Amino acid sequence: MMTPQPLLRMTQITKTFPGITALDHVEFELTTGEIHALLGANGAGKSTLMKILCGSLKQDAGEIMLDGKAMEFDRPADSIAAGISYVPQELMLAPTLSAARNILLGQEPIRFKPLGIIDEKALKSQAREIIDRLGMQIDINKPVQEHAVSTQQMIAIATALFRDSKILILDEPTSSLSESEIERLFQITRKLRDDGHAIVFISHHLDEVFRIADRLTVLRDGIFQGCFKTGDVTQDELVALMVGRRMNTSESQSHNVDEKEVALRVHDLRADGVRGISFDVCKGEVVGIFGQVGSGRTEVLRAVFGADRAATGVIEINGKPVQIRNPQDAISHGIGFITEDRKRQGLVLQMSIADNISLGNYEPVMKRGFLDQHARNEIASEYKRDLQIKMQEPTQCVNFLSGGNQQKVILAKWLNRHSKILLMDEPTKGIDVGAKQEFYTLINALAEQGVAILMVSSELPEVMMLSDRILVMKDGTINGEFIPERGMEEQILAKAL
Amino acid sequence: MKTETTETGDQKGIQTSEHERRLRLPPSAGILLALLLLGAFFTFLSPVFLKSANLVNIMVQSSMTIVIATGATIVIASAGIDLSVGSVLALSGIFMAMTLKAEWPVALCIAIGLLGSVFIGAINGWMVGKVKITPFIATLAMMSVARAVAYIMTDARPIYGLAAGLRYFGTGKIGPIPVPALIAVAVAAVGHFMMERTRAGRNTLAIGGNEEAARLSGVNVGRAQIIIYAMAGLAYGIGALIMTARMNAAEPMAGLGLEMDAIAAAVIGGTSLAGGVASIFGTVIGALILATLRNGLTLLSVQPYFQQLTIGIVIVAAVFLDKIRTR
Repeated sequence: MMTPQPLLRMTQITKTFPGITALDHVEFELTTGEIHALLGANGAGKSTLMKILCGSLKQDAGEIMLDGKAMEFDRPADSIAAGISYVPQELMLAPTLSAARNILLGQEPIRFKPLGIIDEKALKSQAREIIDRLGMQIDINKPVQEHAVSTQQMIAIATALFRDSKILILDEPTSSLSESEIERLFQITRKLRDDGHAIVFISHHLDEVFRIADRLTVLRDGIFQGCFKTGDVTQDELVALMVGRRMNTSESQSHNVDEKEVALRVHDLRADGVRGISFDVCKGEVVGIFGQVGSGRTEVLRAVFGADRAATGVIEINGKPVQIRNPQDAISHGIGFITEDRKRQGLVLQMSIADNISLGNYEPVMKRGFLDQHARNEIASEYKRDLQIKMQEPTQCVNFLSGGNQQKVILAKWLNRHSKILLMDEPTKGIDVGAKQEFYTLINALAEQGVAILMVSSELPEVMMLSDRILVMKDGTINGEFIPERGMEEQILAKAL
Repeated sequence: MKTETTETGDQKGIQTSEHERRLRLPPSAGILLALLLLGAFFTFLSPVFLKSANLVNIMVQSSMTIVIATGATIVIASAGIDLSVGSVLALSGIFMAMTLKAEWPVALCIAIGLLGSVFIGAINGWMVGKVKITPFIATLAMMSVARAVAYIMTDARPIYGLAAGLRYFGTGKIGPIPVPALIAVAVAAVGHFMMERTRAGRNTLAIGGNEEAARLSGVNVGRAQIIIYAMAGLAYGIGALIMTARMNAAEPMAGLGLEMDAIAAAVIGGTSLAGGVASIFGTVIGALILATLRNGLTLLSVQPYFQQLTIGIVIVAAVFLDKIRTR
């Protein structure tokens, strides 16, 4: 008989960032001894909700109640002290320390207080005890980085256990595991549940979720969609909730695609995370690549752009095979690349807007062998008009612009290079709704002008609206190809999960 | 965070760049004020400080620092560091001295010294840009290697009594202004111009600001690094010219520890060690502050070790104040 009082209740949790409401009055609840899956597409708000639970973020409104008591988490340490442990997708372990050291990190048994000498024997026996509780066989003396990833995950979970956490949050724990390793993880998770722990299981692999979870909570666009017992709902119903029927009111565009003019042909492309794929993009065509994080989408773009030295494969531009070993080769063949992380890969934040637009491309602004500041500013002003960039002056530091405008600056950089093939990785990530619409208009306009566009996106409505064709990627290969029409959302999503 | 790239401005006149209209005062205002305060402080404490002979002294002492610190500023702006300053300077001076002793034309000897330092700089740049060794390690290694070569070439003995034609660069004057000071101004002006208005300069700032973004925008980072460190090498070579001319000698131990002065001047001047920002004007003021401090403390008969202490404190204070100001 379960206690009527749930272990954890998060009520009316709201969190906004500039331009985006990440969570809108979300409800989430946990009881002791359950495995509860948290579902939603990328950007649905899962990580934000968990960050609030772990104390990394503070909610704008709403309450967190643990065992009926209202809790305030101002920093991660508060959450840990309350018995909540977070195992992130990128395991937070010290790779060169042993498993034992990692598990007891920060709480090592001390032999001699003033000097802080660690009691090695006690350390090892305590570590071993936890490992045994998990029913595992691990060499606790080897440095963590020498263990297989699946074992590292066990060690991360053991670390959480050592703190005697009542609540364990596992964020995408299966993404780098093999089938047998997943089964082992599930066994351990079930054991922990039977011992009374509450486990939050975040994953986008619906089939796995159905195997392991007792209950499921679905979020979409920051809004709570429902909490269900696993037996009470079907996969299709869940997918419908995750994706939603709400599509943009604008009709999906189809562009004037000249099928005889293949701008980019890729054959047997291989790279880290890409297992031999082939596709074409024609002039004036928008090809969307849809898939979950980790399916190899970014790696495909990077390989085509020459940003990944280890990539192999045949690339043909306008019918002629070319060698692309580095970004300069790609650029010389007319390829541009709008990267996923504009702050880390697309912009030099200390520089002005004008400088960022001219980054690496100085010919247009050279006069008698030296940079002409006037020309550089003129060009920036032109793009300000053409792309509607909200800025004060070309000499303004690009750091001050909003995300959408920063993205436009990056687009201007490539337009200034007269790129005929544009690779875009999540071009509207982190941009507010208004700027997104402007970007869609720009993308359509570019396609009309004959630019071939290869666009990666994890927002299904966006991909469906803009693309002439959609390639669905999963596990490094193309799992499906669609010409988007209304009603296809579930099919497409199913191919990606 | 610093939000402007470089500033126009040199000792001949100050124009605020377009970037600064948007901000409060240019950051160099702070250290310029500090320099003036420092000057006022020493004027108050010592009757000799403001005498023209002493001011000329400060100008000359700071000249070499300005020159090599300009080179260091370029490297630091690329988010790199150059520990080989002193060794390259010594080696360059030795090249010049040995060729002068062989009675070759002065201009040729100077050219050989400069080519030598450029070449060594290019090797540094090659290590950083193509072999991908981190700048600290690469230039640390070069520091040792160049110094060792200097000892080997000279059998650890100084070379004295060089041709008269060289002296001009150290002790000559044009009007009341010493030649080294004019060289320093020229180097700073060229350095500033280079950062603002050439491809190499923009690439340097881009690489320092965000190397990955620069690479993905088509900048040939490997080649750019070679150019950056080679240019710094040229600056060190010019510094060697001044030093060798003034001392009328070249010795393998020259410039020991000089990299610290170069880096200090750049840092005090506001060039961030994180890269992406460069202020040659600031570096000039930084060098002047260091020279003024040394000069003033000497006039006050402060012992050398206390001088070093004071300078260390000033460097930390400058960086600290800078951090507060840009928060």
